Amino acid sequence: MAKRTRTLQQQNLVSVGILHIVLALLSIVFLIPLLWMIATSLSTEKVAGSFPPQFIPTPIEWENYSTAFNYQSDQLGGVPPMLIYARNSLIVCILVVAGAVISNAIVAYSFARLKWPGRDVAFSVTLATMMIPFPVLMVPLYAMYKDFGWIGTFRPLWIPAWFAGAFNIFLLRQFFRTIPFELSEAAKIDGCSEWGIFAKVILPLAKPALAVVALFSFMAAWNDFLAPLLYLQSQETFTLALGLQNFKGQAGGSPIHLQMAASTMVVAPVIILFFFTQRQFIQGIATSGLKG
Amino acid sequence: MKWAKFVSALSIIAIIWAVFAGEAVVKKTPRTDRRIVVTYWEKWGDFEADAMRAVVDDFNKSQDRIFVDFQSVTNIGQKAMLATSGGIPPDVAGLFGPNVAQYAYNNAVIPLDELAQEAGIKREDYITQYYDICTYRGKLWALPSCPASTALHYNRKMLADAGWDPDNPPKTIEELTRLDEMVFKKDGDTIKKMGFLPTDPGWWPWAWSGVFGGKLWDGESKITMTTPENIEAFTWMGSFAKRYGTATVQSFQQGFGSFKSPQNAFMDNKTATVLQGVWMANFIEKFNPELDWGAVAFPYPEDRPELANSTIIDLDILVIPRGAKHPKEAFEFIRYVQTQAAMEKLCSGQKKQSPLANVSEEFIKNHPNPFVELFQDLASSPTAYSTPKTPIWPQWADEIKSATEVINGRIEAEENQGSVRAALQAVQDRMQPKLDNVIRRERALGIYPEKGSVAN
Repeated sequence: MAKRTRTLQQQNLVSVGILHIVLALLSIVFLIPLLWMIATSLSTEKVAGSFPPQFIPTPIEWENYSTAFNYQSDQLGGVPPMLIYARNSLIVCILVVAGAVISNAIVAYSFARLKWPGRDVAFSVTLATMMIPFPVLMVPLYAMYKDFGWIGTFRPLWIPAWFAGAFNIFLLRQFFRTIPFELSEAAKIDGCSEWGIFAKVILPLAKPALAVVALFSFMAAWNDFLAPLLYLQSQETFTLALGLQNFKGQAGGSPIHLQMAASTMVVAPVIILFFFTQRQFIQGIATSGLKG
Repeated sequence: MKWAKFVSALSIIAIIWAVFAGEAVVKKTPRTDRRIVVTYWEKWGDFEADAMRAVVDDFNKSQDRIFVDFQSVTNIGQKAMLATSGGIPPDVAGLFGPNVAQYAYNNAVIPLDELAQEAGIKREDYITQYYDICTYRGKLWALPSCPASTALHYNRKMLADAGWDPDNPPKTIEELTRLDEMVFKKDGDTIKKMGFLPTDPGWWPWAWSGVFGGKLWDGESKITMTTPENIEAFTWMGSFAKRYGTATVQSFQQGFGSFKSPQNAFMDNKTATVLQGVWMANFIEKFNPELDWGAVAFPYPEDRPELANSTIIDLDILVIPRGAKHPKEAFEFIRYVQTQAAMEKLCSGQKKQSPLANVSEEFIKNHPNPFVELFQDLASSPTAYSTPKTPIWPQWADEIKSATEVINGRIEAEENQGSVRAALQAVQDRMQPKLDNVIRRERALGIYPEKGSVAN
């Protein structure tokens, strides 16, 4: 019996080992672009454009980071543009995350916990909006924001986040539905209003799901390129994703080593944030019915 | 609980800060010296931007009424169009020559005829080919900043190694083809060297037409992709892939580094010659200063010597977008750039030639490009050519690019579409209805003049 158990354990070990090897190999495929970005960010301009690429560049140019950070400082009164772009990205991200968490939670609560006529139809229509890609809405939205006088401001980037979005509504609704209704009823018996139940009972229990919404919204706002490209006008208002374009020259020329150094600086906060929130993130996905 | 309250308070403070900071960033503070601020968007970064900034600084110092706020903006073609349609364009935009038709057609720029006339700016002040790039349907929509033209750049050592006299580079297309055969070196299935490769870097797939005296259209309303000259041109372009094999040439080209690197095929001694612009000298200087190189006019077909000195001409332009807050002040600045001193400072800073008819001796003497005179002269050549002036050009260029891929065997042709004629006919069939639509709209708007009054 003990021998059989040992054989089973060995078999398990082998299959787990194979699985890990396959996963490790797959992860390399995903890591190559990231490694190339970091390697290029530490290369000289000559080495950066070489083929095949050098994954361990010689010599290592740490100065690329300070050069990229201060690139075109003279254009913005001596202040490093990366600093200005980072501030702008932060402004947009704070407002988008706050808006997304608050508005999506309210709407999802209504779809998950309240009964009102036409609720399911409204939810289906909300979900259907996920099918409409952003490029389809670009022109009408631009015309609308132009009429509002919002072009050239941050408003088109963050105000829509305060009106909830289908994906996050769906995510939170699924989570809210898993919370026992008895809790709400008990709170109601104790005299709690609907807002009270939402704020004091449901929201504290939904922290993992709210964290997922916050993280998704942050990443979307941080990495968004198209909307800032459309709506922002002057360099003082550019976000980091848009500011990276400044490294792209015309007529085939661009200092790719600086571009990659800047890209590494832009990507780093998202990766760090992901590592810090990984536990909550996985927990949120696992409990909101999003996992396969 | 205290911790939760602290986080909530901090979040509220962060949101309030973000709202106010966001609004403060957008709000511009007026200049204390009460000058009118002219916003100027320019496409260039790097040393080209520095050269223009120096001219802007000179202008700002030269008077105390206008202050030009120079901003380097990428993707300017789309960005300026969007800003114009959004009603908040810059006062001056530095675009590319082919943008003129697109912007004029879309009513996104203001005509400069009257302003130029008042300022005494005339066509004769310029190399006329460059001035004409600024016009569309009989009106002036832009004025030049830095121009460019192209020539055959050759690697003297590679020519000598192949047994070709480096002091006598190829003059005709036939000689260029012969040179390619002499330089060509293969190791098994791998090409090591070529004399010339028309698909490197492949920026102007349409341009071979001009080398053979072909025209892509009649300059007004009819696309003429399948003229005998065009068929001859694109057949010659495709002959390299045919001679050496599509896959072999493609794999040779895949081994090239990016254009702006020492692994650039020309700078890496992989191709002995290349069709490039006046800017190539900068890149050689930067990435392979040891390279022993020269530049001559691109070769012409042996039996048509009248086509000698052909060159692609292109131009950076300055426009005033429609809806600009200070069009008159914007033109003041544009006019300043047109003066000989400012233009020469700009063009030598950007290491290009001048678009003006008169050029000082110092400009040529002190220019960083040793072949600047060649580029300057080529631009005035009667065989110089530029892109067709039509708003559909970007799509048209894409179609030609696809046709060249078919001709080079890189894209599988649809049934009966494999020949050069069929590939070019396909471009014509796709683009002619689009051009017809443009003309129909221009007729309706009354901006399509009678035949003969339109400069190509």
